[in-house]
Amino acid sequence: MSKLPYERPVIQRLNTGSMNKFGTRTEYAPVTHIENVSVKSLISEFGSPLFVISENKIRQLYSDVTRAFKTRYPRVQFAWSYKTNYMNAVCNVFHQLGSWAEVVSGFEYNKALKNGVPGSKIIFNGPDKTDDELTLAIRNDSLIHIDHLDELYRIIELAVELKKRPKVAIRVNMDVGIYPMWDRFGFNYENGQAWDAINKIILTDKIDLVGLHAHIGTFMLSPQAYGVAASKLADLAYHTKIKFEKNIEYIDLGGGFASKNTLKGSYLKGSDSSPSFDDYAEAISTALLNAEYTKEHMPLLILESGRALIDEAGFLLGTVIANKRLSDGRRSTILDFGVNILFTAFWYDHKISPAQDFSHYTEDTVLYGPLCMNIDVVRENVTLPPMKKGDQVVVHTVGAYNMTQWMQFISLRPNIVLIDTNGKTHLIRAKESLDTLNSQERMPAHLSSFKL
Amino acid sequence: MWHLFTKSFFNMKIRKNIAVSDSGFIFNPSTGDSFSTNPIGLEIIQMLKEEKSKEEMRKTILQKYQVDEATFEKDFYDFVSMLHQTQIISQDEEKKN
Amino acid sequence: MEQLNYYRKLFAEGILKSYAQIFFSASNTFASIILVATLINPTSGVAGLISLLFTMIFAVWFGFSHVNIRNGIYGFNSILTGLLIGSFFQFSLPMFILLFIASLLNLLITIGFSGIASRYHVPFLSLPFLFTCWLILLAAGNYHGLTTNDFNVFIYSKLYWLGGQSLVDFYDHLKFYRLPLWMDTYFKSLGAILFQYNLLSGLLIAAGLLYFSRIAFSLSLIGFISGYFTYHYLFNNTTGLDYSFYGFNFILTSIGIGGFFLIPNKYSYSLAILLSVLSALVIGSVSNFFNVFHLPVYSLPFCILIILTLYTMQFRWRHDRFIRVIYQLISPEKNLYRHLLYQQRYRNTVSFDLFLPFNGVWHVSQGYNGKQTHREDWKHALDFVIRDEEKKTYRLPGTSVEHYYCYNLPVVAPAAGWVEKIVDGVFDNDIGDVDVNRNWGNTIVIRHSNFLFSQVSHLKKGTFKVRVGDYVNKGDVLAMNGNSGRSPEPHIHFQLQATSQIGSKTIPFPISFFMKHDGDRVFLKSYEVPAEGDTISNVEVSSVLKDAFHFIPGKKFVLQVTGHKKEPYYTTWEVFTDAYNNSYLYCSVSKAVAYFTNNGTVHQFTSFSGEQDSALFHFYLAAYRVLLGFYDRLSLDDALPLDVMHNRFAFLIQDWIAPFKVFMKADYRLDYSSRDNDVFTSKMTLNSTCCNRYGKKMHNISNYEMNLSANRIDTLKIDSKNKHIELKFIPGK
Repeated sequence: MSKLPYERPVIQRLNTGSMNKFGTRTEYAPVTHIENVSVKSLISEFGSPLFVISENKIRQLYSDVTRAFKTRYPRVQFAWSYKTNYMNAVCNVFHQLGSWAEVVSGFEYNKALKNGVPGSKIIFNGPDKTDDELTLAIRNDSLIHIDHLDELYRIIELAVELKKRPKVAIRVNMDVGIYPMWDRFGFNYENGQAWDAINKIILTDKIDLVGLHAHIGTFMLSPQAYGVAASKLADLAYHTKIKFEKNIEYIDLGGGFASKNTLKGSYLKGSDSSPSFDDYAEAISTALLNAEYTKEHMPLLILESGRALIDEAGFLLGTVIANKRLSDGRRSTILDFGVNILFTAFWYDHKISPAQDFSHYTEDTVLYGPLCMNIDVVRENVTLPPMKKGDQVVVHTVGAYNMTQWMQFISLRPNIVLIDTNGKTHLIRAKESLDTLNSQERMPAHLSSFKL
Repeated sequence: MWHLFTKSFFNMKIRKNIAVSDSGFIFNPSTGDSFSTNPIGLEIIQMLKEEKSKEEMRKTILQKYQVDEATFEKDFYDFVSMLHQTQIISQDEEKKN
Repeated sequence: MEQLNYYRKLFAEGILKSYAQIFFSASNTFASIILVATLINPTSGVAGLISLLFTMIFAVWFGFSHVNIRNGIYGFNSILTGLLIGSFFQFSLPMFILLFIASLLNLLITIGFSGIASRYHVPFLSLPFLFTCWLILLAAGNYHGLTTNDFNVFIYSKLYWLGGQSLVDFYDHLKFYRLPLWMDTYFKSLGAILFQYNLLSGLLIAAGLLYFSRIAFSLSLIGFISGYFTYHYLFNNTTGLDYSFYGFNFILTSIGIGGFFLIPNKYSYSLAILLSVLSALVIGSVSNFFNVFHLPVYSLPFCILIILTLYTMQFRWRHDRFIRVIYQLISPEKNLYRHLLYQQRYRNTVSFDLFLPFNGVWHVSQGYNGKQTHREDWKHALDFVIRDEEKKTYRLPGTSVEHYYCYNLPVVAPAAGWVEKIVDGVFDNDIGDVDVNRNWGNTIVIRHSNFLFSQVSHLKKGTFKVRVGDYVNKGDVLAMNGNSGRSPEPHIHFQLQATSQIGSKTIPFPISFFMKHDGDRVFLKSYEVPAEGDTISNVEVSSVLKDAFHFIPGKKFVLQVTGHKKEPYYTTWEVFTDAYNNSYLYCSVSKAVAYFTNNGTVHQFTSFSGEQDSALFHFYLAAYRVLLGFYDRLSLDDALPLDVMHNRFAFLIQDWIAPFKVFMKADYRLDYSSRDNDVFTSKMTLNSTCCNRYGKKMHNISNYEMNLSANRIDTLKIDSKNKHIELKFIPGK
């Protein structure tokens, strides 16, 4: 006689009256395959936990966003934000699709160069650019976005020394009607600093002001803010044209488009409440097309999107290590990944799906990671079916920031796998080993031996 | 080891007025709470109502389902403590067989 | 003094052009030959000249347009009247007075007929002469003091008068070489147009006609032969033509319809033959009628047939095959070559530029004569949608309008115009549903000109950014795309029509310039209608090209030219506009002129006059047609005017068969070779090639390399006829 499959017994109190806040049934439909490759086989081949990136999804997101913009504004260029995910394979997908590179540090700059991005197609942002980095960028004809006056003066000096005319833009911060207003980066619009900087650049005539840049925030839920930013930049460009008869070649609105993740504390799920690419495109293109400046000269619109183009393409596969019952009766399940590799768990409630079939019985569960730190919580409150040790889970929408902000803390960083458009898997970053860490350390001679 | 758990810690007698439906709904008229449980939980509760012994319950489950002893032990313990917490099992009586 | 000079020029030109007009020409050389031909019968010729002079003086005195005096329109009928009077009567005072009166009468009738005829879009031909001479002849019986001229009767006295004994002997000599009757009649008919009933006049005129236009000459022969043999066959009376009173009808009808009023082609030639045959009948009947009044018929059949034909032609449904000449260059060859050139360059589009009504890259889901809804009166319409890489027009699940990519996207004006009508307030349909009651949905109609309207339909309710009466520029946003009306899924419906009513019958109209996308290549399409299934977009203009070719009146270019003459030299080119608002470049050194147009998307040179070796001529060739947008690996082709690339000798052969087949070709090709950076373009190189071509063989190849830097043209390198010339554009003021 064959035995029935086993599920552990559970009992759940029913809350009558109010709607269950913790999601509907579809929240936890099982996800057994990613891009037609089974989760089980991925984990058995590459281990657990495991980051999986879908190349198909990247290409689809990119084509959605370019279509949304190109049908509204004639000249659009995307620059892939390296800090969001600088895995070379991922960057190259974007470069194959025509994207430039946007970097915020010397190390990212060199990474882009090594990937083969031509210097003239790298946008160099960031408040910390060393002299060596600036020199390299100027030599390579990269587009340098200036953050503060000290940087501006240094670039002018270098331009004279190197006998070159670097192409620069200034970063402008402004009031776009949202809170909080970021005013620590760039030159302020309202108090005239930005206009001053423009004047200085054009009058010294040693460097070419080719663009204006504004990055108004991150995970922006209101597209109108971009419209305001675009209008203000276009206004600066218009006054520059009138006073100096100089055309600003591009307007860079940075990144910050929201992805489908749900912010902690948000009532509605991200997939319902985040604006679509068309919403952002509509706000930005309307503002640009209505501006005085664009009546004669259509500047190139540059967008440095990161999160919105990669988040949904990234998955994290993990395994249940153990279950516990907490003192207040909630179930806690411990997974083999935590905030050490899922950094964005600090600000999102990720959608998590079991990777195998289950019945429709569920429990309120807390998901913990493997670290022995109290803050290592993956989800504080999630309704999931009962899972036992060895069951596998899939975390959705993890493509952005996790693979650049993860820690080597307590556990070693795991494999990253890319599934290509034909369903083949490729290891794009191998997991770390003890040697990886030890190879960086040097032992002072007097500490090399001890006797216990 | 099994007997260790059963011996002292928990009373395993279901309160008298607990209503149990065949579809897995449990209603406790004294507290007004309702609960839902999965098929295997329902089976265990029904066996408790029939005042079966632990040994009998263990044998039945192990025979019927694909599970090893240790896992079942763990889960059963957990389940019973939940029943206790939700006051489906009364906490007064100490008697145990 | 200046005024005297002016009148001297006016009369000199007016006289020559009037003579040329008789044979549908404006060639001064031909005119001189005709004038000489008329003097073979001296009384007649002088009378013709005097009559013309009187008419011109009257015209100036009355205050009529000097333009028409100068181009001979007012004059040629007078010449004919004068020639007639002079051939009938000898010189005397009464005859002189008669000339005087007749020329005044001629002027009044000419201008009167011209006014009536222009209302019906037909020419008045030699009707004024006919009416004048009938009036005169009807009263002729009353004139005493007029003695008839018997000059014509005795040919030898004519010859003796002209050239003395030697000419008489020469003529006798010629008599041995007796021409066939028809040929003899042909020449005499030619002469008879000018009331010179002799072979010599006819030979002179034939020579002049051959010099003026090979096509006119061949038509004159073809027409005459058709008419002559028909007349022969029908009436079996050849002697009546000996005096060639009627033969010239065949000739003039044939030249007029075959090569002057219509573009010469196989259809016009066939029509010329048919009308010549027809005139054989008309001559017979008309002359019988007029005999009753003792009035001659002269060129009445020719006038009747041509005017009738041209008038009725306007009512045709199809306007191909027989093509009425609109821009009259007073030369069949020039008309024909210009027409062929315009057909190749512009597909004969009426001069109005139309573009696509959207931004970005869209797909034509239904074209002209589309199976779903573009039928019958509404067949010239285009439907546009947006597709993704999988050729879907929506993202999954595709169940609501918001899922469709082209929903809520801006729809822009395809050309400048006034907003004529707007229909708003129709709700979008659900996917798969259609509204057949208000089947155009939310619609806008724009008036581009009196008979040209564009209509865009199925727009989204409440999104109109313009109002009725607003003036919109090309590219201005009109409204957002929706799904209203007979629209099961969001799309733009676009059509051109001749009236402002929504849903009018459509007219076919090409898009002036658009890019067709095929994989990762782009191709420029000009003056074409996009086909169903094409992926297309408006041209993206490059600011470097736009600024470099922004030639506005007053703009000056200073150039240094090396390799052209022995020493390098400087020249200045300046942009002017003429009285008709056409712009041109004028070279101060060579005095050459190159006309051009620029509609913001394409710069084109339209004509050139001057030295064909000048620096401006090379620029005219190098930048003959430049698309003001840069696309990698793009190359565009155009057709050059034949006379610019071929020598005159080739034309002497080509002209004869040009109406049927042109074997001479002249090609232009421009390649967008390179630019230093896609976004921050500071340097750009364009390469063009011009050549003439017979079949596949190319000759006379000129290669040009244009280098642009920082929004202006920097250098033009020329490699032509084994010369290497370089033009350096000096950055200016």
